[in-house]
Amino acid sequence: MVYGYSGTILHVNLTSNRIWKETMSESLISSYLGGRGINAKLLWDLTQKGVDALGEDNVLIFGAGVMGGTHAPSSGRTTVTFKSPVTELYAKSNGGGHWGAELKLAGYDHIVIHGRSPKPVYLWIDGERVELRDAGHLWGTDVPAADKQIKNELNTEDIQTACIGPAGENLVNFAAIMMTVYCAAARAGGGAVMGAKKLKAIAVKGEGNTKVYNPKMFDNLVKKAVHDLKTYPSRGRLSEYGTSSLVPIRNEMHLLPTKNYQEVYLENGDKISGQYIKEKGYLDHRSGCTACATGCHRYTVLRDGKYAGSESGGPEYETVASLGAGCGITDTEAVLKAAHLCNEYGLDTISTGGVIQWAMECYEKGLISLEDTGGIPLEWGNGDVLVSMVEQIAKRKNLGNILAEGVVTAARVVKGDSWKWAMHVKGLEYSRAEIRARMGYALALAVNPRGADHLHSQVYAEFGATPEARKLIKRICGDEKYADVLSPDKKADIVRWHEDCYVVSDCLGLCTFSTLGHGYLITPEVMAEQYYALTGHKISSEDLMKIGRRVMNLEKAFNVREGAERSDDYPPWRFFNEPINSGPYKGKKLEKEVYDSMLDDYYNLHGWSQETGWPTERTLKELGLEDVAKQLKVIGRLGV
Amino acid sequence: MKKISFIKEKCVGCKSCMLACSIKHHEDFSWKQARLKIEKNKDEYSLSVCIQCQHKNCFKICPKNAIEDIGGGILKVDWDLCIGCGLCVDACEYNGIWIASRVDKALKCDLCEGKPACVEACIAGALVLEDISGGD
Repeated sequence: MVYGYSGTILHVNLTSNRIWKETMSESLISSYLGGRGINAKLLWDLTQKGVDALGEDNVLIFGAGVMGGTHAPSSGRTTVTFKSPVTELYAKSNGGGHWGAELKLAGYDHIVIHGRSPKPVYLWIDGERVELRDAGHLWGTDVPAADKQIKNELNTEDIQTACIGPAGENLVNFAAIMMTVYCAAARAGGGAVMGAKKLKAIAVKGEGNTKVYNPKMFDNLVKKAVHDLKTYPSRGRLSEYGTSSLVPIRNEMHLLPTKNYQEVYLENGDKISGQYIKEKGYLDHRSGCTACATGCHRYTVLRDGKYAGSESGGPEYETVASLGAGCGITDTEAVLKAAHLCNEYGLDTISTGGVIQWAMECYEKGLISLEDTGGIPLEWGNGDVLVSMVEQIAKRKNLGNILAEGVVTAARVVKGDSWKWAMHVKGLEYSRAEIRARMGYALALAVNPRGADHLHSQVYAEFGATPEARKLIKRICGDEKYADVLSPDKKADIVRWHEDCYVVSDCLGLCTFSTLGHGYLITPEVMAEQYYALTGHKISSEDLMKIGRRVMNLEKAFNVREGAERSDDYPPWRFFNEPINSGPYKGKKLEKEVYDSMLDDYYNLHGWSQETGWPTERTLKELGLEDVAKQLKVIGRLGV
Repeated sequence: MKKISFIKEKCVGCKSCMLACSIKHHEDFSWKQARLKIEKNKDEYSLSVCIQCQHKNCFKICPKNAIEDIGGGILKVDWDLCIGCGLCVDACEYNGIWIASRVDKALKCDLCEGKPACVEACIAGALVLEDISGGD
């Protein structure tokens, strides 16, 4: 009897039209846990060095979390893993909604998409019955329309879809996969990989069940977790106003990235906040992923004005900060419209805003002309321009065709000094964090294997903002004094702990608002207990975190196999050369020597070469990754 | 007498109530075993659950006497007797009882002996156990 897991990986080869099921081995589960961990192992095993991200040989792997489809709080997250077309490196993207729970209850923990279909198709999983169906009529439709059409033709509302929009079809390098219509697995271009495979959607219906090893114990642990999460203070703000309630908080501290990180404060910035969106009646209702403990997701409607009739999920903090503040825009309705369009076309809002604000800076500095933009004046603060550029990018028109490649390629085309204000790491546009006055964040976002992103090792604890955060810093570093955002001391330790814990959280399919945000309430110890009660696999929190370390090293090894070097682990030029220009942190910038020493500490701690950042044979062997060490040795890329 | 009330403005559609119901009564997780249903109709969530009404149409129409009165105004389905004929489903005016598809037995909320699992699982506070003594 398999408890907790369905025990099955579904394989679909789009080239040969072959569908088969693989039983998950005990060793796969005990070494890589599930979700993101097993996804990473499958990606490593199923791809070769240098695989074309948009070619037939890349694989697209979906992994429901181990806790998916249970009532464990916040267990609705799904990981999608692939080689990224924008970074040309390892990528995992994490989405919410209800798709993962549905997949689990349909009887599958993972899906691996191989090959490439000659014509548009979608995958229909109705429990045991799995089939590929023609999607010619769906090609070109936006995400909500495709979802609706699929439900119509399958004659049921009771299914969940993971779907791409026109941006994925047009191979926009930062196209998203949209789950449950409005929940994006957005980062690093999974939508483009799906588009290249001509796979429009995966529709799934879960009519089966998940067995529980010790139902009473699991239920009691869940009740305890529910109580702790329900009564935690910050839950109220996130539920009431959503993640975009962060805007006024960051703005007041002069830490809201504005005009492509040239500034840190946005005049009238409150107009793109969750508080304002609610107050002015744009918020229609709230929603949550399966077994959600927070309810941070929004649904907004524009009832009047020139965008009247537009409605969609969101916006999140990252969305309004990137499309709004990053572009100097406080036109609430334009930002909402642009966010809605990103959902419909299936675009990552962080990268979309990232490339548009970079283009605005190029326009300001004379490197992009009206001719390049098809007559659109790329002025800061212009909401209409924002909306037009989202359209251009999704449809690859005019300048949008260049921006659709991502900021690194765009800077190569535009030339001049434009690379200096291309805000990215490894080619992935920067999450909306101001890191010149946050040493832990600076390191975390730079060493992240998928590029400049917060959802791999966001070190919230370094602020010491809550008792739980300070307790955690003491646990990691031995003293609360290391909860100091301006100090580089012990930041390597803090980042590495968060990396391990993020992996575990992603393997179990848990939202990091519960495991790693604010209260750090669902600790590794709690996760280990829940995991045991659900699956019957006894594991210590230390061993759980060791799985995190193993997966992290495997993800790193994937990048090393693809050619990654130490130079890939650095924040962008601007952070080292242009200081914060206002507020309490005015004058702060990253110092090269300080960053280098943090990076040295981080590599030392991991047992990776300081010179190259490559894992050593000893490190990999200690983690049970002998085969990985062998492969890296063959290509001469083992750390010494 | 008590029933489960729904504050729809608070519901975020996470369905933890359905999963909590499933494990409470069946010791595993399945949408189909839940004795309440959360559904989304365009822009708002709706709840289907027995409101513990006192018309007792389900009780009256059951040909096998599989629905028993366990006191406190609560009716409970005895699966050993239920044959899944569905007459109770047609008789219910409130969409509060249905047939579990895999087992062909009637599913209906019995308030979990006064501590409903769904209410305990609802972090959003959308489900509450309401005292309705004096009328339905």
